Amino acid sequence: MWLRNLFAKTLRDLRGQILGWGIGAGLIGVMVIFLYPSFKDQTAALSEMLKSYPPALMAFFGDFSKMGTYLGWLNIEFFSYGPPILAIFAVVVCTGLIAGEEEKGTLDLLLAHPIRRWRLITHKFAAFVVATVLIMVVIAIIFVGSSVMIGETSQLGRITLATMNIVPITLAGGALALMASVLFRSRRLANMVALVVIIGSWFLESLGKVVDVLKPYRPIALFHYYDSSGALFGAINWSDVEILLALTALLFIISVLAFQRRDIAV
Amino acid sequence: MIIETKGLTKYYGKTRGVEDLDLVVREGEVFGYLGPNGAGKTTTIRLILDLIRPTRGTAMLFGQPVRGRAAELKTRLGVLPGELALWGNLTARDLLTFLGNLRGGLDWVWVNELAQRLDLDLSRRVGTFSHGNKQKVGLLQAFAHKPDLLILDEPTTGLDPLIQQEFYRLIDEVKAAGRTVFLSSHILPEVDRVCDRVGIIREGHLVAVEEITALKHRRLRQMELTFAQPVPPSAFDLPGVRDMAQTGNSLCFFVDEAPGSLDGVVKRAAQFSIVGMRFEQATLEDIFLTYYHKEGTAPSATRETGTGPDAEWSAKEGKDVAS
Repeated sequence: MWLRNLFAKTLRDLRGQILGWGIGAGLIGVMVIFLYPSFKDQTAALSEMLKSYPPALMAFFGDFSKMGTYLGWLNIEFFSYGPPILAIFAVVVCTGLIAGEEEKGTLDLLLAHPIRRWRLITHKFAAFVVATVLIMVVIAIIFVGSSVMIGETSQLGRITLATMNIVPITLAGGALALMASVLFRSRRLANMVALVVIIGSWFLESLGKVVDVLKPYRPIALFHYYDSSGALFGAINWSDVEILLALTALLFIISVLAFQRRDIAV
Repeated sequence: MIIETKGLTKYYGKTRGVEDLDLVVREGEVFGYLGPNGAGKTTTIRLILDLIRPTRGTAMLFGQPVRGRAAELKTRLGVLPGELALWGNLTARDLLTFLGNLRGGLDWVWVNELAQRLDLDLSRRVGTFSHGNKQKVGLLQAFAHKPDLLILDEPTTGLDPLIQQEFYRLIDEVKAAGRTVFLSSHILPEVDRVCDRVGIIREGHLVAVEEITALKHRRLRQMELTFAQPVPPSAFDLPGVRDMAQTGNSLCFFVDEAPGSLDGVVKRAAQFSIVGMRFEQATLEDIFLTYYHKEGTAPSATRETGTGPDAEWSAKEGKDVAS
């Protein structure tokens, strides 16, 4: 069944990535979660200490206001830093979807078969979307399991929700990388450009919270539309999710159109 | 027409790919596309497959332009890409299954027979294969669905001689079934063996299209005769002799295989005292240099061997090598 079509085969080729990134990111979470019980006892002392730091610095490093709570702890230690790391997965996979096959030379063989270019790129990107969701599922399972092991069972739904909230930003990063790989043809260049834009936007958003000069530019940062606190404490900001998914769709459509038109490199 | 190109031209930036190609491949024939490496053979094939887009001109398959319709047309196509790349993590069987599924399934009885005839173990991972075995996988996927048209880019690269012979037999069978083959090659004997017609491409231009029987007349032997004392080159001013060069007591020249040519040379040589003789099949490169000289003209001596309207010569000015 894994060879039934290009979607299935691409997903099959991604199984190592899915397990690797899912378990890898999950283990970071396990470490964070298992540290929580010993941290919890120190909350009062830590809060005292943090009060002496400049508020601007604290804002850069995340939402410390709810640090004393279990979800607040996870927010600072994982959900703020996880997405830019998972963006590396998105970039590496998505530049490989087309440009990878192209550089290997297997794209010539694929396109010798009766498959339209838009279908080819759609199958491939769909496999990436499913892989992204599966990685978050693996992470969520590990988080929920670890939380149960340390006795923090009251917020399992929130943790799952916050993990799934990483999906849209990861998809947007992937679509950006796909577009770069289709436009530039060079996988290496596309990797570089996409990572610079994504990591740059994370810094822009984080610094923009504390540096007034950057504040007006925050809306152009991808990470402006990723809100882990909302998912953990309040309500998911659905307009943020919609913006990220719309951006993903837009970048994907540009990729399709560019791929339809251009020459396949030898 | 199974394949037809009109004024097909491709530039990569300022680099010439192919220029003004007018190529016709008829139903049921085996068409050899012959030319040295870098002449534009793969570029032509990739244009026909709509992998790259022409700077100008059109390519048609089965009477339809490939632009916009390539996917439908490819259902009737079996393709062996040049410099074949495969997914090394799959077994040959899985790889064929996957590619077959892109076409809606495979006739495994036939595929297994093909694998047996080409001596390929389908259970092994493609990544462990030698170059020749990978090429066999490429041939298998091209032949697997018995397509109306086979487009094969340098099909025998890396195949050992026995397998090459089997491949030639496969081509014969395809032809006997009335299906069409377009194959590129830089190996003259191979084209000789399997093709009905040949197109010769040089520096992006189609310099000749002719029946294989006509090309055979153009086949050349390189001859070097060493005499006891110097012999004037004019002594061998005979029909079918060309590119004469003298070095000391030796004369080196090409002689074609037209009836009488070789006989004349041998009889003339017999009048002198010979101390050494070298006689070998000229390489394709030699033939190109002799017949399809820099300017791409055909010699008048052999022009008459071109048969019918398909023996198209690129009519450009240039020196006539044979005269």
